[in-house]
Amino acid sequence: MTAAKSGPTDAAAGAPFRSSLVGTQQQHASEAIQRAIVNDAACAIIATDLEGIITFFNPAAEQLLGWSAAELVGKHTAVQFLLPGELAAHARRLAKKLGRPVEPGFGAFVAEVRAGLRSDVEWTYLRRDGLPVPVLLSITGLRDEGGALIGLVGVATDITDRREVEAALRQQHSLLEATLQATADGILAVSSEGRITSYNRQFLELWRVPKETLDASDMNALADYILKQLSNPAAMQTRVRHFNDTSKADTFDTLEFTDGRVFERFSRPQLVAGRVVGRVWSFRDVTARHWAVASLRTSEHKFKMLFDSAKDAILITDGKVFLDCNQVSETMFACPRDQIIGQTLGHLSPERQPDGRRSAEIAAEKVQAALAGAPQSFEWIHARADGTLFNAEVSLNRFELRGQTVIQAIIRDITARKLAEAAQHEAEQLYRTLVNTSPDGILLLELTGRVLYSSPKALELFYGSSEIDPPVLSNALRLAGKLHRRRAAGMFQDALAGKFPANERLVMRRRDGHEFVAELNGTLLRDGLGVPWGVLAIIRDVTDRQRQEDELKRKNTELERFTYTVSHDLRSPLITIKGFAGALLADAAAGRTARLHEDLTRIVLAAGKMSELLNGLLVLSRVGRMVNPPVEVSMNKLVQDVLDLLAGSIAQRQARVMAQPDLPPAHGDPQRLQEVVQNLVENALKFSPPGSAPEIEIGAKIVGYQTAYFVRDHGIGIEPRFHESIFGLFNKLNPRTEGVGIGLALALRIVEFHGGALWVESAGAGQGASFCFTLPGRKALSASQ
Amino acid sequence: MSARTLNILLVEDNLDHAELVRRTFEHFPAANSLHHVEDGEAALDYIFGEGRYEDRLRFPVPDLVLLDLRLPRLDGLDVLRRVRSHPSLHGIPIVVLTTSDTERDLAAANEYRANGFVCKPVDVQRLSHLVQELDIPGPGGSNLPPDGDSP
Repeated sequence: MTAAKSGPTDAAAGAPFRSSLVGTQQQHASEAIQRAIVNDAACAIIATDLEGIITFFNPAAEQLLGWSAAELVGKHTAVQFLLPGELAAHARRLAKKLGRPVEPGFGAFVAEVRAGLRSDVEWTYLRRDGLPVPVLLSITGLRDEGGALIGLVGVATDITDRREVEAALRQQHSLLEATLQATADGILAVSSEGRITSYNRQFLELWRVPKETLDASDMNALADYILKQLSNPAAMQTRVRHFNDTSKADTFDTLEFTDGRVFERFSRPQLVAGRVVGRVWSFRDVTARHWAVASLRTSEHKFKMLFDSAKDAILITDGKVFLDCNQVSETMFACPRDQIIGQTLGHLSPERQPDGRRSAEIAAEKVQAALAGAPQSFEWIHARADGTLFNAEVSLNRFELRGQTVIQAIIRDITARKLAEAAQHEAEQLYRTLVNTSPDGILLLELTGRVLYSSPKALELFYGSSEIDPPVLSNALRLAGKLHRRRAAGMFQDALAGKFPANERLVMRRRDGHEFVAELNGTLLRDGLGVPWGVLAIIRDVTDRQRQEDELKRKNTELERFTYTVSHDLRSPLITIKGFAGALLADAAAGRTARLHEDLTRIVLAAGKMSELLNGLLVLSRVGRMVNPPVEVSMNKLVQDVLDLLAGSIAQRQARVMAQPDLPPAHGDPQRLQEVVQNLVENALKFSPPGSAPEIEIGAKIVGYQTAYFVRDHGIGIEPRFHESIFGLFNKLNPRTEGVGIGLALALRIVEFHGGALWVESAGAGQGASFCFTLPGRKALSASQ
Repeated sequence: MSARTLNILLVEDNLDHAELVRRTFEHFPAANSLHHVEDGEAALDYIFGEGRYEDRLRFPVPDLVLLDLRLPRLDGLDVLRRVRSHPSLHGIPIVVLTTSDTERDLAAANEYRANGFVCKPVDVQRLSHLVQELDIPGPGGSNLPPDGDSP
């Protein structure tokens, strides 16, 4: 640096200073100071005249701008270092300030100084090498001794460093600001004096505080605002009021809100050079986390409860060993918990499972599948601690427990169930056996009547054989004989309505047409909920029993008829005997003998009558024993035999008897049948009108589906109301005729014994009568159908 | 005034029983005239005065009918019904003769509209009681010798 030795022109005059020196010493000292100031100053000093021509340029200026003083002094203006744009702007600003136009040039500075304004402005100087350098330029006026302005002095300080610091500071500030705004936490900075120095948007949002409250730095209002939202304001009160807490401690706590939100609050002091100047508070909304943790705790709690209270054994495993087990497990495996935990999976099972594979192998497979996310459910054989085995149902599920993926195994001891299943199977077997071997046919029907199942006996009944391949089972109703189908349908409907056939008899038809009498019993089948789903029908072939019952009924009816008749018809002679005996006694007492003989005769005759009746009864009662096994009987021959027998009576009455030649053969006892025909012919002879020759016809006709033999006369006829009673015991149409009157009764019994029917057809008195009888032959059906 | 004879119609098909009834009326404490028919149709003819019984002088309307139930040709019940539906003669006292207590009970239960039921053999006491009960207009107890009659 070249030091210019010429001092400033007005320096001495314009720079007052005091010192303890006097005179020339004083002058020398002040000159030295001036030189020091000017030459050694770190600031660039540039003096100009009023035109701007540089008059002084100190070493610092030389260094700052890259020009030497010698090059500039007296030659250039100071304005050349400035940027024209800045100068123009400055001039404009000045114009505004002064209120009058200012020319953008050096004159601006002069004007400024003349206006008494001190100019401290930042400018950009251009160095000789073209690089800009920021400076702070202070311009004052240079005055002469009279105080007149003769020039300007500018002191320029290089503010490059300062600019850099400012920029760095700005950058840091903006970074800080961005951070403040970007953080999710709400931040509030409060100075020690209680002033809100900073806050971010999140704080506003978190606390839902109006911006104005914060801008107004109204700490009380803010505290109120906050307390209102907390669920336990009292507890928070003191702490909140200490927003301007000056302690150096960090604080932390959790705030719970009335609306369920939960905040974490953290604060730390703001230190500058080790001194507390304020406190920074940060708030974080941890509601979600809080409740997640709470719910996790709850669900963990729930899990624990289930774990402990379940009726099944629950074990937790990581896939290799058991991590935990509940109390039931201890009971089920007869093993304390600590002997289960840590054991490998195979520990609680036998070596092998029923299929022969090794338990550990299968277990590993299943566990792996469960870990992969597929829940497993299967039956298993487990082993207790003592080695005993039991059946179990196992289910494996994967789930997260306290952050770890584990398998939860639920084990149910199904020994009881297995036993029940076995028992049920046995019962079913038994049931099946019963059904298959039952002598009754069993049908299982749907509610529509469709046959679901048909026992072998049922197949036999309806198809003649149980060996049939399960046929296309027709609707059960079709199995009923045609005649009874409506009744069968009615019974089925009743069953559906809850009215079951109990011992109902129905004629049913087998596939080959053979009919049989079936006894039906039925019941409605309901499922577990009580809803009907089908009908169970039990069918018993009671054809034989039906016949026996009919026979019995007939016998009973006859017995009743019999008993009635006996008591009645025997009573008549008894009355006679009693009456005349009484009369005899009276006469004897009175000594009368006139009617002795007559009365005694009456008594004897009556007794004889009784005896006859009783004999007739005996004959009738023995008909059953007297009927021989049936054989083929030629009716033609039989009729001929009868006519031969009665030839005498026929001739006596001069009766004409016509017998049809082609009588169909019958099936029965020839002797008994002959008695029947004989009886009928004798009656016909008897009941001819007196005086005329009886005309008798013997033949056969078709009645319904059967052949009926008849003996017809043209005699006195029988009135319809007597058509039944004439067949009764001892009933005689004409009491005067000979005989006891059992002939027709006997004939009836014989015919009925053969399974046939005997009846009379007669229009009435004088219209003749036709006695007809049928003999069914081989078919065993009873006539009472 | 002369004692009026009690006219009785007996409808009975058993001749022995009819004889017993006749003998009973021989000892009856009142004059009576017994007429006997053997079947229901004859009974009706007699009661209604029809057929061969037109002559009411010979065959007066009976004061009492003794009716056996089981008759040929027309049932005792039918006789009862026919008489009961006759315009003028429906009120004739008819007593039914039965062969047993059971029969009597049955007949009564079946509402045979008879005036009474009597079991055979007929007892004279019972009969006179019955006649008294029925308040049959007739002779007031006379001891005239019985006048046996037979048609």
